[in-house]
Amino acid sequence: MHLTFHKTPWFLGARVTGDLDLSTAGEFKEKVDSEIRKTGLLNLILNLKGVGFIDSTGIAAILGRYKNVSALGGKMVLIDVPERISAMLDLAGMGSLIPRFRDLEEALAAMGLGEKMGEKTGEVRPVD
Amino acid sequence: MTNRLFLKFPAKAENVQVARVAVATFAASGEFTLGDVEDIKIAVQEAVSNAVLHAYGNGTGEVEVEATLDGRGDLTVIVRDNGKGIDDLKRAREPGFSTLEEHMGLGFSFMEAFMDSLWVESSPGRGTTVRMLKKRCP
Ligand SMILES: Nc1ncnc2c1ncn2[C@@H]1O[C@H](COP(=O)(O)OP(=O)(O)O)[C@@H](O)[C@H]1O
Ligand SMILES: [Mg+2]
Repeated sequence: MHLTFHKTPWFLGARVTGDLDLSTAGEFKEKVDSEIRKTGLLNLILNLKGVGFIDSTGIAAILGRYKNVSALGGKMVLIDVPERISAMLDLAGMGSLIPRFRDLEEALAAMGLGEKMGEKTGEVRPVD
Repeated sequence: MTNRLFLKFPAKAENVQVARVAVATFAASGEFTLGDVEDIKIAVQEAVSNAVLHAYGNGTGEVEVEATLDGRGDLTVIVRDNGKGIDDLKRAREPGFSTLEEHMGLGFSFMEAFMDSLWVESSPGRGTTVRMLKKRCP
């Protein structure tokens, strides 16, 4: 599992690649939580495109981050979710709980951040 | 033609991936699609994770995994531990039921969803055996 973060004034982007499972979920939780604490950013956009394998422990870790962020008053969305992971999220009953978007632009528009990002950078592709 | 793979290892988290990759590689020698092999990976991961997480508490124990490709080309995977067993199997298999915090109780649901059949036998104090069937692609 590999995690890369991208900070903007309005959200924290995180991209996960590799396996998000029993052996890596702990590290995932720790790193995401500490990045949120460090940056003070409350909105989290998690890119799952590069996740090759996920199990119920990985799904639980994603839900746990959602709960944390929500408790702090922030929003969390998922982007670029592979079909199989989408099916597993649906099986987990998280179908409508954590919003999923095709890409960053769609997510930002839905979160009401699209315009802000455009104003600031003129470019909207930081976590791609 | 039949073929069989047998693994026995200590119930440690780092062995879960080894078991899932070994069974997936074994299954790939049969008539399964790439999607089927991904399904099998998840089911094996969940069954072996349960033996590692739940069977022995903080103690140690062994896990056995047996995979068989039968004459029809169907795959049976058996995951066995000699741990504490499950008191209420019906309840344990319900989606969302877990005895561990920060776990979602989705393991059995995923095994059921991604395999064609799932049988679980357990006796408290003696251990748990999970048997799963994946039919070859028609
Ligand atoms: N091999 C096992 N030995 C003992 N208990 C088990 C075993 N497998 C499952 N269980 C029990 O069944 C429950 C449900 O399992 P599962 O659906 O995989 O959810 P989770 O692992 O997230 O708790 C577990 O919380 C545990 O109490
Ligand atoms: Mg489980």
